[in-house]
Amino acid sequence: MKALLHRLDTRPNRLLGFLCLFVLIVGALAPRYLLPANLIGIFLSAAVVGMVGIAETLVIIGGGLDISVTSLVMVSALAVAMTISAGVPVPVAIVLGLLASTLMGTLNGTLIAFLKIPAIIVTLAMLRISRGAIMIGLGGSFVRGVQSELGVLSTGHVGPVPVVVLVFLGTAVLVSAFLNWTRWGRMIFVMGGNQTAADLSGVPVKTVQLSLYVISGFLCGLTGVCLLTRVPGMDISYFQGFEFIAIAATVIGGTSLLGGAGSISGTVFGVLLLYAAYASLVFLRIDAAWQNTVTGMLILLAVAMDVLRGRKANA
Amino acid sequence: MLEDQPHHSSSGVKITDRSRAAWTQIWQSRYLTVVVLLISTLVVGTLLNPAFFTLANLDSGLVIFFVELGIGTLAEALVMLVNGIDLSVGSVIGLVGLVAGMSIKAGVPVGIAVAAALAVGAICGLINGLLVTRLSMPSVIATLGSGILFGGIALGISGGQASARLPAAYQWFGQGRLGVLPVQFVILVILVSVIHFILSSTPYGRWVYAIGGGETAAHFSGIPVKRVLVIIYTLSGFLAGVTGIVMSARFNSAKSNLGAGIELGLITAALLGGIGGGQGTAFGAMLGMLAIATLQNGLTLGGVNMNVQAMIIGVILVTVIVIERYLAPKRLA
Amino acid sequence: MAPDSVRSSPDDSDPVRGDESPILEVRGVSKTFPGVRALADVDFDLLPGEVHALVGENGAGKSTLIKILAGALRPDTGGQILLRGAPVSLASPRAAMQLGISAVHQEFTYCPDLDVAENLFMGHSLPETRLRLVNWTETHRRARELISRLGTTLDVTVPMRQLSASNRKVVEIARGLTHHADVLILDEPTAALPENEIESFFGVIRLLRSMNVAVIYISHHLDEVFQIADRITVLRDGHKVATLATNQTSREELISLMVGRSLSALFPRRTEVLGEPALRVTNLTRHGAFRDITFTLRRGEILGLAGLVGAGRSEIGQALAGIYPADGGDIFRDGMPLRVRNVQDAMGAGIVYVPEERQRQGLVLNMSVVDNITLPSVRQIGRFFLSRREQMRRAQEYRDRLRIICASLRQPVQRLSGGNQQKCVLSKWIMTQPKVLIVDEPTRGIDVGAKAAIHALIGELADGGMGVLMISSELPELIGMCDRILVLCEGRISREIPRAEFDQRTILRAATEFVQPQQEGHGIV
Repeated sequence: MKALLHRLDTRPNRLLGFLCLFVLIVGALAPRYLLPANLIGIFLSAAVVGMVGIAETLVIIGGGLDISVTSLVMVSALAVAMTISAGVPVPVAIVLGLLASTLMGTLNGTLIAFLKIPAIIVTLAMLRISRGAIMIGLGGSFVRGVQSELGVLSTGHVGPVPVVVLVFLGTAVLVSAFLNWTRWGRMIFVMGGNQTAADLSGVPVKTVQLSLYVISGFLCGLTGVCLLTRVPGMDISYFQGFEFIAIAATVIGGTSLLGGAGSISGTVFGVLLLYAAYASLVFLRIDAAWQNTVTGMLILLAVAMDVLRGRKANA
Repeated sequence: MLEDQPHHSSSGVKITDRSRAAWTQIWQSRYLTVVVLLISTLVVGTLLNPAFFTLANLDSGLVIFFVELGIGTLAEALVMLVNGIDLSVGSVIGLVGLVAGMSIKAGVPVGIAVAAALAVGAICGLINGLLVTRLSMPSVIATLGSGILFGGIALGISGGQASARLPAAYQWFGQGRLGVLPVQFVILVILVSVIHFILSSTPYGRWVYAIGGGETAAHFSGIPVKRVLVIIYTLSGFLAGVTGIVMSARFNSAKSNLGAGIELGLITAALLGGIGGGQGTAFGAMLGMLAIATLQNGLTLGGVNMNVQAMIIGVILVTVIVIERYLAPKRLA
Repeated sequence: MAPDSVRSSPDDSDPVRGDESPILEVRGVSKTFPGVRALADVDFDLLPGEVHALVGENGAGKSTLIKILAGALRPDTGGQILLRGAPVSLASPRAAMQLGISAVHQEFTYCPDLDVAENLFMGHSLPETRLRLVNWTETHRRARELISRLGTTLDVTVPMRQLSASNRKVVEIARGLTHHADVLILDEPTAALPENEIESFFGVIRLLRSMNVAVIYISHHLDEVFQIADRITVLRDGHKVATLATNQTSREELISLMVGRSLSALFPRRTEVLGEPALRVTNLTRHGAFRDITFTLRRGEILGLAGLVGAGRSEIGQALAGIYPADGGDIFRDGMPLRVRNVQDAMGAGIVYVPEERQRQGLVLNMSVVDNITLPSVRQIGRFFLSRREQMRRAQEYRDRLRIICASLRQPVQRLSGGNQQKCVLSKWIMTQPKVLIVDEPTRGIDVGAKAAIHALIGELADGGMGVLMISSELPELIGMCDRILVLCEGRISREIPRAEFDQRTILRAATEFVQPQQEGHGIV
């Protein structure tokens, strides 16, 4: 029994416990917080950003960093919306969107892995470059939403659970399985843990590094489709700034920013905690403008705890 | 590598053709990229909009723009000199402007409000410095997190509202003139001169370059590395604060998102100006900023959207780094 | 035979099968780094199933040779490496591994947050099920088996960061065994192994031998070499000096070959007047580095500090100079107690340290010569204003004095040759007018001419009243320059040798004294 408890005592699980506790406490202070409509709302809000978080976690575990994620999401979302509006069948449009974001992810990866430009700079530049590219394509106009065309994706439910949330959880499960149960996934951990050791042991470091950003691009593309189910329309300035929440969720969930350790489930619980916290601000009558402060503090706290516990690559 | 071979000249270097040496000097000059960019920008900008190259624009448009970004570039450049990167500059700009604006609205005298706000900027920088030295956080991550924190605090205390219609005394910082020159231009000139002086002609400047060029060797040489780093980050925060004051004074409005997204341009400008770990000068950074500011000004007059402008800067950033890494040889500090 | 003779290997069958062709051949391989020739025209061959030791002093070229064989470095053109008779190009560690060459390096290369089993397979070798998914059961089973082959039991699900240093080494060695290598390179494998595990470790080596795996075994510990190796190759100054069968040589002969008799550099003749104690150290300790160091350094004296790599010599120098201060013990300068908490404290007391790694610790590479030379003294030249003219003047003074060859004082110090770079580092510290000068490997990687110049300089400084602590791995250098030699072993002083008793064998013996405690039948003095 003791052994079982010990195995369950992981960061993600502790986070889950804290999350439940948090919800219960806020619920005690403001009972309407516990209404199913609210709780499902939290899940829905968290779903889209959560998927970005999953992409971010994967990249960070591999020792990288991707700040361009939100732009990639927008690229895909806009590509899908515009092509559907132009009459292209929905499945084809979705494929196009995925292709667009995956290509940009590949570009990121190539610059980082093969030209050895620091990830922070490449993805920071790509963040702005893709917005600019969108601008050129869009010209500032408002894109009509395609919720109705996406049909069941937008409105479907399995029991009380919206399809989007299922996609989110499904992605989490799949990516987690990939990371934990395939060779490539384990190589990502190895590379993030000690790139020199990986190289010396024959891990194809450049290719693995490239794959991080390609996968991230693909997942962002998927997120873009999910985003479309949630909004009646969007323009160029939409979805800006969420990359930091994705990173916050990753860090809170126990993934080390130095790479080599982490879990998708931690990120899932982390993003749920963040959105539960944001929602609680409303119910507790705290000005919602303090959201970002909460995010910033949680990030720094989580990183500081990691660093103080000595998460350095080589002892 | 030079070998101690007896048959070389006493200076140990093969004597080259004079003209070849001059050409190599130009090619290797770290300012080549900037100058090229500047000239091409002026040409393109004038083509897009003939009003670009007029005195009126240069005076009120370009110079103002350049100055504000210039102070910000100084802030970023200082951190880059010691091999760091500061992603919180934009948030500090917003926060400091806001603190000044809100204090003034609450009745605090302009002078005290400005001083307090600048102190806040310095404290933000200090926090960054402590995160990097005491907690050994990589500057990327520390300033990413602190940037969100500072931005969040700014948003929280202001509720997203702007402090507008500020008194003339405050507006002077952004709109006034000292003689024929805009106030912020004078401020920039003073700051750049002071910093350039410190970097080039004081022992502390040598310390900074040494830390950027080889932190271990700097430590072994008796330089108090941690102390210097904290001071650099604090100074950087202070400079970001100055930018916040000047910008909010010019817009006559202090809002938390005043500096949002500015980091990309600042980093690109600094890199263009030859700033790197242990190398670069304050004037060089200004040159880089001049190129970027000219570019942005020209594009704005040409009717190009902000997002596309950012895109172009992003492309320049990546291109500059590729050039630096693969085409240009190592440069002297 | 002499008393410290060869301990005959317990394995009586003659291990050298002369009729088999070599699995690995190295012909005429050289490697040049800027300013120094690490390997010069080395020949080497390895027979299948043999344990071939590679010995030599620090800097002899052993590390460079095995880095080339492991694919981590490319050799200069002109040499050849043959695997099973066919020429190969070892372009990367991956390429070398795929050809069957596996290396276990000296530095730790592991992923601290992953468990033992994962570190053994490093992702790409994890056993899979038919569905291309990782088979964790099989992974753990194989991991346990590999570890037990080394005679240890470890919980393979424990993250590496929780293991002790010696256990981590065991895992790294086990990793080297996972890849069906034909050639296994071990670089100082027993460095972190506890005494009682070395014998079972040798058992594994013998097992490998019987499986026809060839082992290249690098070690400073000559006793181990005699226990386990079939043949021994000696490297010195980048050259291969000899290859001998173990049972046809002795420890004496090996040591002679390693150090050589060529004292090509003449050491300066010095006045023997020694003054008052300049520095007195009692019970200096730093956890994990050195313990209870006690000695006195007199004015005008050159005190040598000898020992193997890792014995703690550099750490002592760095502690005295305030770079990484000691935890306990006392330091006295001219009789007055000192608190050395940082480099400024030490500099203030006149104690300076010329580091071992001149490029990483001694110089800021992209800064100019003048800036580097004046770096510790800049505040002294001008508190608030740094006069460039004064800087140049001082730098010029030292350039002339040490005859530093550079095109201009403003050129980046990176472009200078090794010898001139070292002169810059020396100038930098001498400019602060120290009373105690600690030099760490002062002539490593420097050609003969520059060596002589630096030796002459150190002699001059000592004659002028400076106390010099010389840390070096080059025994001829220590013997030629020093008045006394302290030998360090495993962080403690094992012996103090006066000038009259200077002898290379004595020093090496004292340097390995604590490595294996006295035991019956080993025949080691």
